[in-house]
Amino acid sequence: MKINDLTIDGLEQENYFATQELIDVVNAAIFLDKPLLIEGPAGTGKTFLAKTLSALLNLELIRLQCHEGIDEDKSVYEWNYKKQLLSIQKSEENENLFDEKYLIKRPILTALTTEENSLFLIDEIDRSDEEFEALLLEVLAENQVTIPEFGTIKGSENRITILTSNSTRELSDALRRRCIYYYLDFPSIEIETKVFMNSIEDIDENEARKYASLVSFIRSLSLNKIPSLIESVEWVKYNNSKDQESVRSNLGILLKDKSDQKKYVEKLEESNEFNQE
Amino acid sequence: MSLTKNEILNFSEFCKNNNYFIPTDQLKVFFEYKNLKNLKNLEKELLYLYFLIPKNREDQIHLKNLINRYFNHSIENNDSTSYSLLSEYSNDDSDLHKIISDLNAGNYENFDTLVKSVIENFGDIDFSRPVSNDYWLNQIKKSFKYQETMMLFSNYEFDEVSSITNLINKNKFNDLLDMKILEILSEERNKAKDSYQPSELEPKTQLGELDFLYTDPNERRILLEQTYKLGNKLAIKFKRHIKQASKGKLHFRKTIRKSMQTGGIFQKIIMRPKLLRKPNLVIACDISGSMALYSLFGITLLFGMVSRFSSIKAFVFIDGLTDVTKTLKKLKKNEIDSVLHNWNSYVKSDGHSDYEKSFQDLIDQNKKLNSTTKSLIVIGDGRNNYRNISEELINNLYNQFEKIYWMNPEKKKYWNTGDSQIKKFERITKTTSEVRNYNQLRDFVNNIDFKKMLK
Repeated sequence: MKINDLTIDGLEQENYFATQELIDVVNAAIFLDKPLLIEGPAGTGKTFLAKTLSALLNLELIRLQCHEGIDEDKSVYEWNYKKQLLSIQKSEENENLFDEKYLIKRPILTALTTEENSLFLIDEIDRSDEEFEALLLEVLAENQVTIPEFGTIKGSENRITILTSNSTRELSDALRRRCIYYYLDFPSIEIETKVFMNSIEDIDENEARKYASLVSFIRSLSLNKIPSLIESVEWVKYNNSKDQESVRSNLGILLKDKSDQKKYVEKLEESNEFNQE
Repeated sequence: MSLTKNEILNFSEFCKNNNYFIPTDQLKVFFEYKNLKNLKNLEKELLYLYFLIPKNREDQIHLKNLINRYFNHSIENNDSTSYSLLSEYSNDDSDLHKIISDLNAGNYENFDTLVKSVIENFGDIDFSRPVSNDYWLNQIKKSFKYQETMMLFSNYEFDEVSSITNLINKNKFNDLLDMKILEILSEERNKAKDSYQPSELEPKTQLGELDFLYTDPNERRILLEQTYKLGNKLAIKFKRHIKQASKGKLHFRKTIRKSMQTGGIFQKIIMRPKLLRKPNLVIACDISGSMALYSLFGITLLFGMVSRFSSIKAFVFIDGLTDVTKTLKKLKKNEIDSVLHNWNSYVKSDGHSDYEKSFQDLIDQNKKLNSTTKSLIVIGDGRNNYRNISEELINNLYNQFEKIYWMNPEKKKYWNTGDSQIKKFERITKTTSEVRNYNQLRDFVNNIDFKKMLK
């Protein structure tokens, strides 16, 4: 697929704030026509990147959400048995039952056969079983799918593939080898400031920067559940609108674990003591 | 300046010497991209070398360090370098406001003069003394001028959000100041042509090869996280092996689907695969004083396994055995060191490690529960404080557990010296390995053969 190189400004128009490295890697993946595997903690904007790209480049988004126990029937194709049965009873001639009209297309097959330019998103691949990964290998490397009764279906070239993973389990080397890899970490203070300023009304840069460094400080504590970008935006939005006196209230928006909240409050007191010295 | 093929090959050789193998096909992808895009900029080329070749985070970090060492060029620095300019600073036209806005703008002149004044204020530094620059840094830190400089940050009244930002600013500034002082000190020392080589100028070793004992808190956090993942991996490796294609419960959905082929008549019934048997594994970790920091890594590994799998039993021992399976299950990831905080509660008599009694407890417990467990992983140094370990115990242990894997955190050259009795155990174990750093731990986990283990 021939697309001009993406730039930071281009993505910012779609409200996505990224580092130059991420954009370089996305450009390389599109240029080399290879799938892009994005790994990283939950809530750093992996899925949102795919959505943004599809909106920016005007691509049809085809999404395959992985879960435990996903298999060929749910992801690639299925034969429409009812229709097949009916057609046997209706017609007397020996019709070919394994024709394309009896085929129910699932996301992978849809992505391969669609005529329009498309973006194929395989979300949370780490939640699927090992066997499912093996199924994907043919799609990712050869851009084709084999259906025993039907033959091999070759995919069209006008497609970007993005895989996301939360690294709850190790993906196999075979899958990794076929992809281009990027580790998307939590945003830096600069980027988070931009996000706050973009998504929250009447917040000035100084204020946004203060909150961003506070959130990055919270993330650096060893927490059980590290707050994601969306949570921090919601928290700052609420705190800013209500003009809260203390950052201890409404902690439930940001920290969703009791021991985490306790830890945070303890740290706050420590820093207060330091400032009073 | 651009990378040539020869240079890449040399770099690849360099990586090979440092235990990282660059696969040929990935290198091909890199060259393909380099030629198509006509890359000429060294910085960009190194960036793509870094992004196109490694395929997981561990390798990425490894390669980043190697590039840093070979090309002397650092990439992907996500740490934010600029400071937050708080409105409180600007109130009374203070020095701090000027310094920080200068730093943010990349103007280091004022900062340099500040650092020089701090050093000059300390007085003459005698480089002929055989101490490192760190020593002088610590001396300077005690000086009045240094303290006064740091006090710049605490002259204001803050609300709660600003106070944290101020703290972050202060820490960042402190690091920068220390670094600059060290830099100037080493420059001065080089001028004096002293033959003494300060240790902080030597390149740091790989994180994976760093001894657990010498890690700083930050490195330890990263390594503990990886160790936890390794525990998970070990447990999953276990699960995958026992998941066999035997018949279990009815797979309702698939059976109905299948019956559609035959017009709704159930001809073939499809079953879900069943877990054949649960993994029976016992892990015991020595947490006595001689184990030092290694026991923290041991317990993290236990935690990683126990949190994934219900039938793995975890024990800690000093001079008697304690079952910590339930304790560990209640804990959360960041509370693991609380096990070590309650060290007292695991002491049965005098607090010196006693392998004889601990293993006797283990054998008794196994007999009492009539357990069929045959596999045991031990993390310990085998130092028995000059107590005897009888042949009978060794035999009993071997009868009870046929497969014993031993991780010894002690340097191999010190095994069997002093009160170490590791050779008695070495006779009955499948493998006994030295595990002092993350790479050795990973290799140990990867080399365990579960097929043999469960038979």
